[in-house]
Amino acid sequence: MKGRCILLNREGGSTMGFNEVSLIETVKKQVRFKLFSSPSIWLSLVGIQLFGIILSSAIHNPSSMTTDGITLTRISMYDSTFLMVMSYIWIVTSSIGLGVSSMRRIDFTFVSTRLSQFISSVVALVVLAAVGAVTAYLGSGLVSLIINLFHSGLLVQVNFSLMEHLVNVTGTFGYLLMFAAAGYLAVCLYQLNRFVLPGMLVLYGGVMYLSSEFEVKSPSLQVIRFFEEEMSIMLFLLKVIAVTAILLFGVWLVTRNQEVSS
Amino acid sequence: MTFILPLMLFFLLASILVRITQNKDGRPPISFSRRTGLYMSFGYVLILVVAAVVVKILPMSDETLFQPVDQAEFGQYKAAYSEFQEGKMDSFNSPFIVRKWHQLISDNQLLIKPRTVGSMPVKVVIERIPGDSDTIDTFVFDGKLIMDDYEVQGYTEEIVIEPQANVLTVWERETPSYVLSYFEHDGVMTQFTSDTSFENNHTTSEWRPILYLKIPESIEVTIDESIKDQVTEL
Repeated sequence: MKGRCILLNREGGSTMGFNEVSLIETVKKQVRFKLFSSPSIWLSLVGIQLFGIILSSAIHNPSSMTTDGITLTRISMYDSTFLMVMSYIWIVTSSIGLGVSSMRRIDFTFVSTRLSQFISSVVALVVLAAVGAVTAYLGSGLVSLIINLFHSGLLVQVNFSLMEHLVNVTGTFGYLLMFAAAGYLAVCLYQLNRFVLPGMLVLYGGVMYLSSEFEVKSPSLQVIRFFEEEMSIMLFLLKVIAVTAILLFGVWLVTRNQEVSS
Repeated sequence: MTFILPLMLFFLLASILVRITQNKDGRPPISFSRRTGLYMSFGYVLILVVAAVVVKILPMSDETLFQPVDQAEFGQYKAAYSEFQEGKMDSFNSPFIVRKWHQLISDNQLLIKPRTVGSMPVKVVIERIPGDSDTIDTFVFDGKLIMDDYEVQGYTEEIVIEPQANVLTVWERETPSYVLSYFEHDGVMTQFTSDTSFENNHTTSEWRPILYLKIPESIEVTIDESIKDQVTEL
């Protein structure tokens, strides 16, 4: 796909050049710029996930088990929930960072269009979600290593096959991608009108109140169940793609007519 | 709660860090170049990959207390255990017999009792043999505690069997206590694969030691009421 760009000089509109710019090339450059222009996005991943790893390996739920009243086993239950929560926080803050107006203004220092800007943001979100999913999943290994090194006793954990590892990472990626898209839409809505987000929160609260008043199942719980109760990875991915597409379509609707100002 | 606690800690630490690291002009005193930042990020990923590999290689146990189960030896043990329990072993030369001795019985009466009421750390099997004698043969068949793929070392060592005249007292020095750490991935990570709950992924099998007594018919045996259900008379 090709786009045309005419560069004008400051004096009065005489044509300085005439170039055809590939959309793909522009998107590539913008994605590279979004992801690698500043190290903060990756350093924040390291910092936030390390914090989650420390929490996950330090906080545990103690319990005990007795067999026939003879042998007592003291069990410390660890999980990677903290690490996952930190990964959600990172993906949301990063997607907000990508969506803030200053970043979008920088986008237009490239020879770009609304479309290339939008596509590059989507690709950047997908890359962020993928990196976040892989590092969060690998981070679980670091948590179990820390537990093994610094806590006494036998460490019990489930061993997965390679295919199961891939499925686990894919599932994690799906959740992070939805969080990223939701964060990006939220910041776009906020920039469209500062009252949109509070308004949506009020609307959400109203729906919650009405659902409890009329004893209808909570919509948020139904949304959570819609994803959490899915046992097939393929169907889950279809759901993720559909929901992410809706969220990003919302982003496109919000941003396509916005002015670029510096 | 698991969601709220890290969230609160995160925002608390983040706000403290921002306040500490900002200069008066609002700019952070420490900043990393793009290259340094990328090196640090790649370094982090490298650490994660190495950790994942090490976790696979490193034995997940305390080296002294838990040892990997020798499956062949464990198979032989299980077969010998049931035979011994049923008195079917032709000879008592099994490598799994850890103690054997003769006990001289006075007054032709033997009382078997625990030191603590109802607490018997062994199974008792009594084989009555014909004849008139004041001596009984006793054997202790080793016990095993298997946790997942690991065997607890010295499981039988804490058991004390004290023969005194016509009383045989059995007890345990202290209740054995073992420490397990269980790690499970967050539910999101394993939604489409196996269940990672502790109950479904941890197995404990306990093979209690057997105290086998060959007692001549001339000796009258009394078993403490509190342990009668733990005694098998062949």
